[in-house]
Amino acid sequence: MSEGADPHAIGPVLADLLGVPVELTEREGKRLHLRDLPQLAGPPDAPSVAVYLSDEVGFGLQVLLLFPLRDARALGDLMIGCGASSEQILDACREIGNVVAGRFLSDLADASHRRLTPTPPQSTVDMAGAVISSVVASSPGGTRLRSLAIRLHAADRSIEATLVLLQGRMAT
Amino acid sequence: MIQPLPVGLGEVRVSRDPSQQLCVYGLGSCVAVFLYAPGAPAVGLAHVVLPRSPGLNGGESAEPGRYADQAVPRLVTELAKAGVRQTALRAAIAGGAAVLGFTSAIGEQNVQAVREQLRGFGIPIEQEDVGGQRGRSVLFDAFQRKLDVRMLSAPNIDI
Repeated sequence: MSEGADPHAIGPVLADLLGVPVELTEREGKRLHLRDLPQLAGPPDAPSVAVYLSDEVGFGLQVLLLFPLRDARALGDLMIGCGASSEQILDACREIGNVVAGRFLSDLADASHRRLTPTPPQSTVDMAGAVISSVVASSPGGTRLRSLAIRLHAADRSIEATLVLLQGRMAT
Repeated sequence: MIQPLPVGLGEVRVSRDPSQQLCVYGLGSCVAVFLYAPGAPAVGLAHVVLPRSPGLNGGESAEPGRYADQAVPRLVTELAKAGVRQTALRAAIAGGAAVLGFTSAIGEQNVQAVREQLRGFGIPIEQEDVGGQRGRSVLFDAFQRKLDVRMLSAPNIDI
């Protein structure tokens, strides 16, 4: 991705926020093919919570986080407590999106000497592949894509999510 | 036994085996274009991602189904090779959703571009399920020539 933006830097940030060990793994070592992108976060028709953010000034950064439903619920349990409502769970997912996007944009701002802020997070519950393919389709040509698996090691189970980072050309 | 045959982003597939069910799982702003004909030996599916090819080099994309203006002609050609007459073709289309809201323009443009292409070939659209704000999985039953659309329970999904 861009100079100064190391995706792995979000691991310690999330670990501090959530108080659990965090593991990040680059999803694909090989080249990502267009046809396979809807499967980045598992089965393309799997119900997922999706959180999307970009930068407000046209740096071309897009951040997409996908949580399988059971993992979104577990994240709600971890951040809010058992019995969290659907809206609280969405809030928890959006908060993670804010943290991740904020960390990236901070790195990119340092590298580019520009002030960068993320848009408010948009969220939905839908098929993972539908969200991924829609974001990819709306991205300009030449956009670079990276995908990382995030695993939060909570006490009783691990919580998994997929992070998709897209960066196009910087607007001038 | 029916075998699902998923078609990825930008792909064009033709099946001569009626036990194969051409399908797309997790369709968002993209459009699935199924072409078929009564009694024909094959059906085809293009998974369209964008409305128009850049056209800078005049060549076809590495993914023949990526752009509507290349996908529909390619699918018609492939079906002709399989023995399906263009004049007999019928279409079923699905997709073009505004997932996450902000992709609405792409979805609508995809649907419009596919309609224009099909009109240009004189292919009537017999079945369609387009627009909205939810993703879809779509399957085509070659025996009954029927589009099967599946969505997550709408409008609200409890997590």
